[in-house]
Amino acid sequence: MSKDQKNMREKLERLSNSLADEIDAMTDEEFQSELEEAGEDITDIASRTRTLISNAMENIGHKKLIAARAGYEHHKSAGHDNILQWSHKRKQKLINQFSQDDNYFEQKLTMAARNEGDSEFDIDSIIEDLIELGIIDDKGNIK
Amino acid sequence: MEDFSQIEFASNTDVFSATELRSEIESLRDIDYARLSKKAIALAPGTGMEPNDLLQEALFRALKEKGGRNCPCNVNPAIFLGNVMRSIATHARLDWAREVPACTTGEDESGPIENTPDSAPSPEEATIAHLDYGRIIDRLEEMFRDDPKAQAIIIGDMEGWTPDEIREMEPMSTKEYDTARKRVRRSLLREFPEDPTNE
Repeated sequence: MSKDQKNMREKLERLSNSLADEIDAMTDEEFQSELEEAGEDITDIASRTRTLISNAMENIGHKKLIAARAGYEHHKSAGHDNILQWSHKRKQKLINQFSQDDNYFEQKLTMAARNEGDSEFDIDSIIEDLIELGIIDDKGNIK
Repeated sequence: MEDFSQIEFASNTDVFSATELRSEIESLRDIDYARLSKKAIALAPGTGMEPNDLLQEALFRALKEKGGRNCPCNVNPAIFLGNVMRSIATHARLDWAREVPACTTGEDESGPIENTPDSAPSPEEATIAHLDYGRIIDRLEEMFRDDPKAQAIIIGDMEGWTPDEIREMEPMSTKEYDTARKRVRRSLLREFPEDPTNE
C-alpha cells in the first residue's frame, strides 16, 4: 500500500468512525429528532432493519441446521460407538476427567451448565475440541 | 483516587450465549435498529461492502458459536453490534487496500521492474485503488463546497483534529460549529457518496 493510499484510507476511516461515534453519543430524543428533521421515518428505518436482521438470523439458523444434519449423518454412518452418540451423562463423565485440574474445562463446563437448553450442544462442542486437539479419538479413547 | 469498585470486568462467564444474544437482538427498540442502520451507512465507505452486508456480517460473527465475538452481558447488543461492524470495516478496508497495493507515487514507480513479483498488481490496478479512495474524499469535499464551515468539519475529522482545532481553521462559534456538524451528519447519513470500492 502506498503512503498516499494509506493516508487516504486512514482519513476515510477517521471520518467514518467519528460519524459512528456521534450516532452513539446522541440521546434517543436527539437521534429521533434529527431523523425527523431530515424527513426520515424512524419506524420505516427500524422496520427495514428488523426485517434484514430477522432474515439474516433465519439464514444463520438454517446453515446451522444443515451443518448439524450433515454432522448427524456422518456420525450415524460412523457407527454407534461414536462418542457424540453417547448419553449426556456418559459424555459429562468423560469430560470431568479432564476438568479436575484444568481451569479452561472448569469454565467451559460452568458455562454449559448455565445454558441449560444448550448444554448438550456445549458438551458436544467440548468433545469436538478434544477430538480436534487429538486428546481423544471419536470412540472416546484417551490417547 | 479513582473508585475501581464500580468497574465490572467481563470474564467468559459474563457473556451472552448465542441464544441469549439472538433474543436480546430481537427485543431491541426501533431506535436501536435505526441507530444500527445509520452506523452501517457511516462505517461502510471504503470497505467494498454495502451497509446491509456489513450489518449482516457483524450479526453472523456475533452469533457464531465457536470462534465468534462475545457480547458482554453488561453491554447493549446494539452498541456491541456497532463495534463489531467497526472492527469488520477496519479490516475490510485494509484487506481491500492490500488486494491492490499501490505503487502510485513517483518513488515506488521508479523501482526496478525486474524486482516486481508476478503477483504484484498492475499499475492500472494500483491507480484505481488510489483513485477510489481519492474519489470518495473528493466527493465529500465537493458535497460541502458551498458550506465552508461544514467542509472544515469534514477535513478536520479526516485529519483527526479536535473541535477547537477545526474552529481555529474556520472561525465559528460553538453554536455554529454544532449546527454545521449536524448538517454534515445529516447529509452524510442520508447520502454518503457512492463508494467506488463497491463497484
